Amino acid sequence: MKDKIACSGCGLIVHRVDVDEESISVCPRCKTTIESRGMDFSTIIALAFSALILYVPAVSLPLLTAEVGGILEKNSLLTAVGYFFQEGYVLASGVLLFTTVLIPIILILSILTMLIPIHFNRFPYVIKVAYKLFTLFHYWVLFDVYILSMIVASVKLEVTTELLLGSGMTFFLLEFILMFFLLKWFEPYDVWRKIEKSNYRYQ
Amino acid sequence: MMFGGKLKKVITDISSETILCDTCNTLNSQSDVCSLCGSKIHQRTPYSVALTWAFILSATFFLIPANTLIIMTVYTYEGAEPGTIMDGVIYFFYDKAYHIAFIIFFFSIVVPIMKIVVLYYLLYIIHTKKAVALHRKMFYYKLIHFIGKWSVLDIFVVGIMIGLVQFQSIGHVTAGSGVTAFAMVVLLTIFATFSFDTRLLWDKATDE
Repeated sequence: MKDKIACSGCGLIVHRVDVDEESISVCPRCKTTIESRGMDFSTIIALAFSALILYVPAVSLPLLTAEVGGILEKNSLLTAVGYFFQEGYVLASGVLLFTTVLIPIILILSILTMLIPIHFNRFPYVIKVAYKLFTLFHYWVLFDVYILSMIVASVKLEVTTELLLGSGMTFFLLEFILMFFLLKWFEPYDVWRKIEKSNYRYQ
Repeated sequence: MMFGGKLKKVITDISSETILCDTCNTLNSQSDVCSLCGSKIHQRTPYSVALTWAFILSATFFLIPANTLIIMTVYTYEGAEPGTIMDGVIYFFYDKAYHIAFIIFFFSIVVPIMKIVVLYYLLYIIHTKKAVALHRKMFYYKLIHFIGKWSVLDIFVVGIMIGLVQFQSIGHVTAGSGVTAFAMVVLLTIFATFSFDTRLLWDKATDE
């Protein structure tokens, strides 16, 4: 059983092969990736800590500033959520709140919760909880969509208002790049391969 | 087939009576829980077809209010200017911002409809036809899975606009109930994509 694996896309049974950081194994029938290796866990921990530090300024500082007749209006991720909520659009504000504010921090914290104990060769049950949170939400980081939305909104607004970049923009773009590489380089199944090697089992 | 030979028999998790754990990607022998991570395991996502039907039918229903209700109203000194999603596309088109018009049209109108059509097609195959050319169907699925999250774009644009344009008498922007309907469409289509188990398609291929 240990040397075989099933494809998650089509259920074909294939032999497990050793993959390294540069290679992946692909299902011969449906071309779904079967196994891949992410970066070394210490690199991921370092990236996650950097993302954690940049998170607070990225979501709270203004990203865009609009000016009409001397009145300034600053807009950060949190104020956008707030305006939506005030107007009573709970679902839309919820989508915005989750995808751009809550889920990034949930992912960063769950990665740290998984990898720091593993780094010290401990395997507490909380790893499994953090792992489930991570796999549940990792599709939903929508920083890239938000950047395109800001471009669309600024094209619409530049006719009537004067738009300036806010002080949070640098932090936001850096946070976006860090999250991008964090999710690209971290392969969640690596956590289980480590646990498999340690002979620890969850009941 | 040319030489009278038979197709090579394909070994799958069903034919070899094994179960792949969704959580940790470990192959298990018949059991209720995974031997490595202790999660509940099942050969195929439970109620996959029923859930996909439920999500996709509700998404189709919400498509109508999402495209006909007002998504955003712009108040200027000239008066109120309400608009649906399509009005936004037309506004940018007349404004000669063709790229922006295309982005909104593609992500807010084409992508949701495309996702719904693809999922209906895949469900149709599961219910009736014998599965052929599954690579193409797999590609459609991976495409809607990849592109799905980009339809949230319009909700974000409205969010940014109402946050930025609050100049009371000079001009301000409010959202409309179309935003909620559109958010429902986006969420339901993404949930439908997630609940669809592609292995069900390939099971039909090995049935023969």
